[in-house]
This record gives sequence, C-alpha cells and structure tokens, in this order.
Amino acid sequence: MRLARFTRLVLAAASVLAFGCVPASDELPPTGAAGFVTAPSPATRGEPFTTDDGWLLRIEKVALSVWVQASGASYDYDGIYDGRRYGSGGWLFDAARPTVVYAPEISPGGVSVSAMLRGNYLFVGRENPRDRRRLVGVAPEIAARFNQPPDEGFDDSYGGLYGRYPSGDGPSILLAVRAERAGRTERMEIVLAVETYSGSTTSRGVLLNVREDDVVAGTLDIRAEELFRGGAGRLAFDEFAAADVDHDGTVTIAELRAARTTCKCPVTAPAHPSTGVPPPSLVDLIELNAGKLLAPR
Amino acid sequence: MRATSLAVALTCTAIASAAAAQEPPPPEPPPPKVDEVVVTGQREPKSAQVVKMKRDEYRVVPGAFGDPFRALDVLPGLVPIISGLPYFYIRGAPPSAVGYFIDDVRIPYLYHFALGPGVIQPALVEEVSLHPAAFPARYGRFAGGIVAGTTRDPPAELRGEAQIRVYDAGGYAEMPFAGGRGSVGAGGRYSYTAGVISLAAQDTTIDYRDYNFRASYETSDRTRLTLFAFGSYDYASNTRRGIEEVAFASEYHRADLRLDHRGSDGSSSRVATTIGIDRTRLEDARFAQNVVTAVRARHTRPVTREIEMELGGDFTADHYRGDLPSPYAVSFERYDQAVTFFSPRIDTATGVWLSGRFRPRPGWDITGAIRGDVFTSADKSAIGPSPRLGMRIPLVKGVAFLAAMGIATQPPAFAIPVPAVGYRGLPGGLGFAYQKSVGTEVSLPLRFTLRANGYHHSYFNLRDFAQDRGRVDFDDPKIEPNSPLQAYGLELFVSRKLSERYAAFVSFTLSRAQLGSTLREAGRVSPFDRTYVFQVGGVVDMGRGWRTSARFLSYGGWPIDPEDQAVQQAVRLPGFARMDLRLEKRWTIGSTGWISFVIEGLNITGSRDVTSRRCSTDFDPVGRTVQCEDQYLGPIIVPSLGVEGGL
Repeated sequence: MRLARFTRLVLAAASVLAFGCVPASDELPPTGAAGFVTAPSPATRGEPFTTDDGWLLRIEKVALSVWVQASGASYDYDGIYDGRRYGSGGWLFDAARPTVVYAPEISPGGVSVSAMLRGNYLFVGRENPRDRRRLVGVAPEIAARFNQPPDEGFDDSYGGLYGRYPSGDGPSILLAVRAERAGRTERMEIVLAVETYSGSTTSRGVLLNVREDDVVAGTLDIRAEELFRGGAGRLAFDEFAAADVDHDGTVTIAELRAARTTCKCPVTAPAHPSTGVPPPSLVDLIELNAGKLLAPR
Repeated sequence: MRATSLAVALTCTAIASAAAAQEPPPPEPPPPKVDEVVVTGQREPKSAQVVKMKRDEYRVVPGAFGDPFRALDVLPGLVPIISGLPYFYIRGAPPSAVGYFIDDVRIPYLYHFALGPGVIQPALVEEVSLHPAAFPARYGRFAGGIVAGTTRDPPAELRGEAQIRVYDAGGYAEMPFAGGRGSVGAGGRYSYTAGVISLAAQDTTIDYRDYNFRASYETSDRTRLTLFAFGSYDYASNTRRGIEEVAFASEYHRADLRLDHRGSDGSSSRVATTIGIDRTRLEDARFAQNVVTAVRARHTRPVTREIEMELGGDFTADHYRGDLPSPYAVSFERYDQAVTFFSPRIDTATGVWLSGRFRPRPGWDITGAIRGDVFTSADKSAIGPSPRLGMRIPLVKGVAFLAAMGIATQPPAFAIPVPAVGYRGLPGGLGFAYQKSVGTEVSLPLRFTLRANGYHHSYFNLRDFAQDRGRVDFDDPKIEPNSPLQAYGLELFVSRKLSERYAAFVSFTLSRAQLGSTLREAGRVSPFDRTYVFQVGGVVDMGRGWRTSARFLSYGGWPIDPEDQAVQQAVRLPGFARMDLRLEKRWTIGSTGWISFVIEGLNITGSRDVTSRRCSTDFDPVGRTVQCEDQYLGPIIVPSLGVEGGL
C-alpha cells in the first residue's frame, strides 16, 4: 500500500472515529428563588438594651435554623401539576448579620413565601442524614452544635428494625445573653429546638413574584429581644435571673426548666393558641416567645 | 520498566603482511574494513514493585477478550467491585486513587463504559504493568497504584491486527516508510452496540468508539520523534416519551509528541509534550470540559556498571470549564455539586524526581527515589513529597527477597474516574498513602514461579463512594474526604508464562481493608472489603492451531454493616464464583499472517453478585419474625464471538 493512499485512509477513518461529541448541557427549565433579606433588630445585632425591669441585656450570640418556604399555584394554566411552584430552602445563619435566605428552584410567577424556625431531625447512636442547610456566617463548632440534640435532649425515640434510638427535632435557636444590673451579672447560653407552627406570626406568607435566575426577597425582621417578652408585653429578665438558684452567675437550662413563670401571656401567644394556660417554665416561655422572633413583611 | 538497548561495535582489522624487503613496495592496502554489528535486546530487570504481562500472555487470558489491561485482573492485589466491571480496589485503594498511563501519558480511563473493551488497540500494546506500591518515580499524583502500558516499537514491515466481534470491530495497522526510518499507523474501534441493543431495547442507546494514531521518524540512529494520538468516546442514553435523556457521555483525546534519544554511553532521554481535551456530560445534564497541556522530560544514565540514575520533571495544567447554573435556579445541593466539579479554573501539578537503581549482581535490584509534586487549584496550593524504596535481593539460588515501601500523594479526585470532573481548590487537602510490603520470589520446577507478598498500606484523605455501601450516593460531591483506611493482606501468585504451550496460574489474595478510627468514627471493615479473591486458570495449546484457556474466579462477599448483623444473622454477604472460557482456532497465512476464530465468555456459569440483603419484620401472635432476602446484580455475562487476524 502506498503511503499517500494509506494516509488518506487514515484521515478518513480518523474523521469518522474522532469527532463524536459529548452533547452540551440541556437548557434548564426557567426557575428562580424567593425569600427574604433578614433585618436584625439592634438588640439582635448585639447592641445592649434595657429591659422594663432595669436589666441591661446584651445578646452575644444568636444563630438560627430557618426554613424558607415558597408556594404558589400547584397547577399551571393547562391544569398540569407543576411541582416547582413549591420549594423550600434550609438555612443556618448568624442572625446578628443581614443575610439573604431563600427557597431556590421555583417557577416564575406569584408565590407566597414564609419562614419558620426548624432544626434537622436527628438521631442519637446512628448516622444522621446529610445536613442540607445552607450555612452563612456560623463557625464550624456552632454548626456542629446544631447537629446534636438540644440542651433538653430528646424525649422521643425512633423505633425500627434495628432497635430504638433517641431522636427528635434538632436545635433551631442558639442564644447567648449577658445581663447586668446593679453590679450583678448573669449569663445564659441555651440551645433549643423550637419549631414555629402553622398559624404563628412567622408562617404568614409574603407575596412575591419569582423571576428566572434571580432572587426576589421580602424582609424578615429578626427580633431576638422578643424571647424575653413577659406579661403585659413587658421586656423582663427578673424571672430569668431569679432562676439562677445556685447564684453562680450562669442560668442553665435545668434552672430555666425548674423555674415557674408568672407570665399570663399564652392567651395571645401564637405558638400555643389553643392551650390558654400559662407556660409552666421559663423554657416554655422562651419557646412561646420564639413565635415572635421572626416577622416577615 | 526500563528497556535498554545494548550496542556492541566489533571492529575487525585486516592488515596486509609486508612483502619481501627486496621487492618493490606493493600498492597501499585498502583502508581497514569496519563491520558494525548491532545487537538489540531487552534486559529484563526484575523488580520488587511491579508485575508485568507481555503481549503473548495477555492475549490468552480468558475473560479479558484479548485486552491487555483487562488481563491484569488475574493478578493478586486487585479486588473487584463487581464481577466483570473493570473497577478494582488495589491493595485497598479505591478506584479514584489508581492512575492509568500509556507511554507515560496520563489518561482518564482505560476502558469503555461499563463492560466495554479497552480504549487502546491491543495491537499497539507491548506490555502492561501493575505497580501496587513504590512505583517508578516518573509516575506520581496517585496514591493507590499505577496501571501502565507500553506501546510496541515501530515495525520494520507492514504490521497489523483486526477483530470483528458481535458488538464491535477494531483494528490497527502500521507500516514503515523512508527505508524503515519512519512508520505510520492508525486504528480504532467502532461499536455497533447501539444497533444491536436497539433490537431488544429500543429506548436505550449505548455507543462507543476510539482511535489510535502513531507516526514516528528516526532523525538519527539514536534519536526518534514520535507523535502518538488517541481518543475515546462513550455515550449512553435512554429515551422516554420521545425525549432522549443522556445518562452518561464522555470523550477524551490526547496527542503526545516526544523525542527519544539514546546516548552512546548507555543513557536515554525523553522530552515530550502532550495536549488533550476531556469532555463529560453527567446524568444531571451538566457538561464539563478540561483542556490538558503537559510537558515532561527525563534522563536516565548509568553512573557505573552497577548504578543508574534518572532525573526528571513534569508539568501539567488542566483548564477546567463547565456550565454553572444560576444559584437561584437549582437546589442548594445541585448548585454545590456544580460549583465543586464544574467551576472554571486552572489546576496545575509540577513534579520533579531523582531515582537511583543499584544492581551489584545479576538478580539484584535496589531502587530508591525521591519525588516531589506541587499542586495548585483556585489559589490553593499543596506540596506532596513521595519518597520510595524497593528492593529485590537474591538469597539463594532461585529464591529472592522482595521489599517495597513508599509514600504517594495525590490531589482530591472524584470517587469514580470521570474525565473533566475534579475538585476545585484542593478541598480537604492532599491524599496520602503509606505503602509497605515484603515478600519472596521462588523459582519452582517446570518453570513455575511463586511470588508472595505481604503488605500493609495506609491511606488518608482519599475519596471513595464506597465508604458506606448502604448509602452509595453518586450525587454526593464528597467535598470532605473519607476517613483513614488501613489495608493489609497476603498475595500469592504461582504461574508459568501463559505463552508456553501448557501454562497455568493460581492467584490468591487474602486481605482486609479497615476504615480507621477518627475522633468521630470508630474503626470498621470497609464496606467493599472482600476477604479473599481466588483465581486458577490455565492455557493449553492443543495443536493444529487450537488453543483453549479457562479461568475460575471466586471471591468473598461484602461485609454486612455491624448494626445490621444481628438482624441479618450473618457477618458477610455470600461470596461469588464464576468461570471464564476462551477457545481459539488459528490459521497461519504466509510467513507472518494469521487469522483466528475466537469464542470467549466471561461468567459462562451465569453467576450473580449479591450486593445487599433486605430484611423485613413481621409481627404475628408468636412474636416478631425477620425475613431476609438477598439482592442481586446481574448475572453479568459477556459472550464474545469474533474473528481476529494479523499481518
């Protein structure tokens, strides 16, 4: 075979064999995101504030686990179900700083967007599912704390083929507070699993119009001071300070659980609208007040 | 392997005797005639670290379909994930830690998708090598092991091979020119699987093809310029409601231009540059591309009769590009995955090495090497030192002591080798392997050889989708590396060269891969660990062109998760066994030509791999009863019927 002929043959074969091409990416269906820009109150940002009973409080740390949910019409104009009109996104963030939190992958159009406090469901003694929340501004040790049981532990257990494991909702609030009055200082650092329920302030939706490849956002006020709202709408710390029965300057979760509150606030508290009985402990009071922590607008 | 050419120049001088003094002086004698006789050959340096298979051996391995790289799975130390699939753990190292090279050119993978054949034409391959530890200094950036192939020398006359099989056809031909100073060859493989499969499953498309091209020219008696180009393409899709969904598509192309020079002092040098392009499209419709540019150089020189040194360096730049979606248009998980794998960036790796080989007596080999690599990616950098030492020391006649130890490093790599898909910014840092092995090589009667090695390898920071088999998640970007892994075991290989008229081999691996302890995780058996892999096979030349070979393979089952063992009432899943068979009838045509009819089957016993066990609980008046059922994959049977021929 002559070289020239061989070369022609090679080039012909190469052109057939070499140029198979991997196809480019498919065009994604048009979607965008809807959510909130968080607006921490001055107290949430760490600025000291004075309660109505004279305590100077400073919120030193506040991290939240929040789920943003967007929902619109589930059916398009042709009556075909369109699952992308509903979506959610989990966020674990430093509430002291403004943050954009959103639910991605929503079809364009009008949706109602809400935010709720919620932690991951956790197991003790077996591997947990991957944490799918978006982390913003939280240190690794704080993020790790949100994947452990809350201070009060779990009172439920998961039963299955392989036995029972303690399980329950993971933390949604990490709060560190320093309070001072008349030379006395009290500290409190708690990690609670609070889930805000349907009907609470936080689940009220804000109407937004989703755009392709963009995020549309309402405002989510974060008011950490609301956790200390007592009877008659007063901000108060006296009961928390009084819970420190060992006078070590630190209010523990056990002390909060043991202390009774005199607050007559549950009638208007959104978290337990039907109970009508005072919260039995200061932990319950904080959990009750958590319903006012997030305020979308 | 190092191939050397020995040039021996013999000078014979004839001097005419002087005539009688009284006679007039005779005419001037002709100048002395010098005959140069060049004897070339390959010295076979025996090494502690490498196992090789030559061309005439790998062809007859049953179940390998004549593919040189598939034939390597007869060797101990390779633990298959699933029977038939060319993905292995090598001494506990996951597939992401195994490097593939052909003529020192790094390539993403050696085989076509799933059960497909190799991407390099067998006619081009002279030998294949498995380096499980302390590999040669020129191979770096992989912590687990190296599979390397070497192409044949250019032919002195037209040479070629071709195969036609039920599902594909391929061939390669090479011819000399310029009086033998140059050669040019080309070949490839084309699969008509798409057509064959469409007869049974019209919605499924599987396609693959490859090409190989080589041209070389000797610019002088000692210098050769070679251009070697090759590439591969794979495509798998499924059509639903008239829309074709691409499950996997991948291609890569490489062009390597190299200059080899043999010095008169026995030295050899190679300078080379490679360009390439990789493209992949994954199931989630994302497209990724990598343009590879690389240069490398090495110089090997005998310092004394016993000592040989090699100095070398290489540099690789990977230009990654991918389609990044809007962060608002996809879920957090999908966006993280896209950023991790498809962010535009340039990754570089720069390596230098110095190695020395000491051979004081025949059969001795003490090789030490120091290699260092610097990796950069997205403003991050890391340094990976890789010292290595291997030795083979004859103890008594026919018995040698083998030992190897080394450190190998690699940048973060996706759990399954996929072209153009890699990690941005060296997340989790470099992966490391600490390799130690010791063994013996014994010459047995009837030209059998026993090679036994005990090993202990430790791996850190590698990525393996198999960390927890119960939660295999191909969507997991695995940005965090796996926990440490300890692998230890014993490898035995008794064999007689498969090219002999009667040959046989026994291959046995007894091993354990243990995920090491960390602060958060207790040690446990790696979920893809297999306690043993046993193979026995043989080749018989029956005369009149008939040759048959068979192989029996068996391996232990995967471990059951400790928390499931009580319920499933077992510690491991059932093992697996299969039989492979090859039958060839060869006719000789002329002096060098041949044509063969080959029937071959992998897993002719139709065995199935048990991949898990599913249990359910029933509550009845007697109490709780648990019923378990094994889950199978397969059977994966690969029949092959074909015609092969060569010039």
